[in-house]
Amino acid sequence: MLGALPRSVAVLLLASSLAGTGNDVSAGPVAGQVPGQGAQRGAARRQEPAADLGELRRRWAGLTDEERTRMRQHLAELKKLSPEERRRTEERARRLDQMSRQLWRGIDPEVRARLEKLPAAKRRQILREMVVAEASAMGRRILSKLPADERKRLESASGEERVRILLDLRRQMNERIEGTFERIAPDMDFSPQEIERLRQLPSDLRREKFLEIVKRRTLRAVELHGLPAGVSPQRWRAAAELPPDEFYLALLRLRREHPSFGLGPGPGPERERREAGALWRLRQSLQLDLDPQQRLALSHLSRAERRAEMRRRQRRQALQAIRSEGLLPQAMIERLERSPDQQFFTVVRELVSGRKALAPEHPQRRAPEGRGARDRPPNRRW
Amino acid sequence: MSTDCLAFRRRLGALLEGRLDPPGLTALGWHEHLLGCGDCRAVLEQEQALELLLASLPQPSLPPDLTRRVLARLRAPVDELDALLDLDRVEVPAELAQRVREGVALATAEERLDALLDRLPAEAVPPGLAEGVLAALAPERARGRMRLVRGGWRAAAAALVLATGAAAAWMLSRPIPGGDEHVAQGGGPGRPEGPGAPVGPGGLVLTHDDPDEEVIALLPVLEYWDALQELDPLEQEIVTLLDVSDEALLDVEGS
Repeated sequence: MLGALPRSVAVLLLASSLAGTGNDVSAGPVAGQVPGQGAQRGAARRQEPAADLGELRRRWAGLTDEERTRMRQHLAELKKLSPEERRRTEERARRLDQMSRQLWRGIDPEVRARLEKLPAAKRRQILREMVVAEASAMGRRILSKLPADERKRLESASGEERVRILLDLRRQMNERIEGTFERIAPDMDFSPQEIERLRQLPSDLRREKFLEIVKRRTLRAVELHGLPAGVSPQRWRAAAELPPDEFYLALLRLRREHPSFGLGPGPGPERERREAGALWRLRQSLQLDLDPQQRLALSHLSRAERRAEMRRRQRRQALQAIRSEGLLPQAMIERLERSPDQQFFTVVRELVSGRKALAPEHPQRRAPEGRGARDRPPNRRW
Repeated sequence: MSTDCLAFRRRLGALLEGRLDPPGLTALGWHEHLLGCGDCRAVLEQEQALELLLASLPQPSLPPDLTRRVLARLRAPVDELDALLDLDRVEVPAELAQRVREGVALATAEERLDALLDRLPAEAVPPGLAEGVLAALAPERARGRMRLVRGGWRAAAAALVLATGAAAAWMLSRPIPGGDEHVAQGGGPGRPEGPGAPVGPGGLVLTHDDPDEEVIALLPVLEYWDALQELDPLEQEIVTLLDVSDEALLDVEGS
């Protein structure tokens, strides 16, 4: 009666939801996920709690009149978009908002203290600039780590096609994680049963576990080999307390700042010379905008002035590196020096990624095509 | 099953569809067929138990002041996160879980009932059956003469009502999942502004107290409007569609 559902089952369903059995591991990470495309990805991206109206009101109350006017204008612009464009814009903006919270948590405590001393509007602006720089760097990093053919497909694809390729890539990654578990299992003393259990997890959980394992593997390597020179134990402890996804981002920051971080065993001096070489400095010049200290030092400037000054510094540092090591022939250096920013940085990025040939006589010259392995030192231990 | 059984059960079905007079179910208890048929007697008994349970369920309703309390909390300046989190705490009677468990135990014991019900004629359940039954039993309910056949059902019914109320209260207080619902069709229970009350991102219920309410609800988006324009479209897509686990995987694979 009452349709096909026995009453005992209905009561049981209610009872189990109230009793909070909650042992179903698949229920956790997906809960609260944004429906639609978002549900297909982003599990390893922990769900930041959405800001509630009270928090948003406090944020609004802290804005200057000028900022409020700008927000109202943006709302008017947002409303002019088609529903699909609006959905995408909101999704992207929320992702940046989420990144800003992660960035804030992962920032060096000393830098954070300095940022906190800035007027609120200035602090927000600087933080937003840092988020944009981080997002841009993350996009470029992932691109540089992709196989050359995938990268080319992405770079030449139209908007819709790009989304399709990226979603497909995401799906492939889900499958590749299984193989990675097996590959890193010996380092982690996993039994075959444990590997099998990991492989059987829903893809979202599998990604979370994967990041957890990366973190444990890194912590273990540091226990065994010690911290690289320049990384303070205090900073390492702070990073170790972060959840796995943020820990990984902190690890990237440490690698950026300390070139010897993450290198495998080997003849140190030679490797260090290589890493301390021109290409590393060139890469550093591109990452200057990721350095909160640099941005803080320019906090007295307006946003446009800061951006322009940052660009000037990046150019100067890049040219120094190119000149000092003769990465390009002299004639090309002179042309590069005269080129506008966009062209200049495109060439520098291509040099760093290995897609542009170095000067013929340069010892590090290599084939122009590749996976950007120059970005990644060999024998990385963690 | 004999022809008499079939006839009896058709009559029962017709009664439950509301084609007979409301007191018919009781009258059916005097049907002479029951004198010699234990199966049909059992079916009728279980059916009576079910109908009594249905009839005894009050209409689920939210606490009368829940809407007001939720709105008051949302509107009040909140200094501590805890105060906001209090909204999620539905007041559940301390002994609810125990009562639900008892109800479930009884329901389990009543599996025989379900089995019997399953053996009823295989025709599809007539549409409107439950409503018909309730309507048929309404007079008795009104007179308060009905009582549960088994005391245990009372606990199960109470648990069911409380659970429904708790679930409804929880649903009311949680954010509505995202989507393009910035202006929702309001008017449901707990919607403060009646039809058309705007719902902001994350299901934030907006009021018309502040003309900037919509801007406020969309702040996380609007604050990054300029920032988005600075990002290359490809970088935007990568950051939105991939995440740190993809990058870590590429890194581990490449090492």
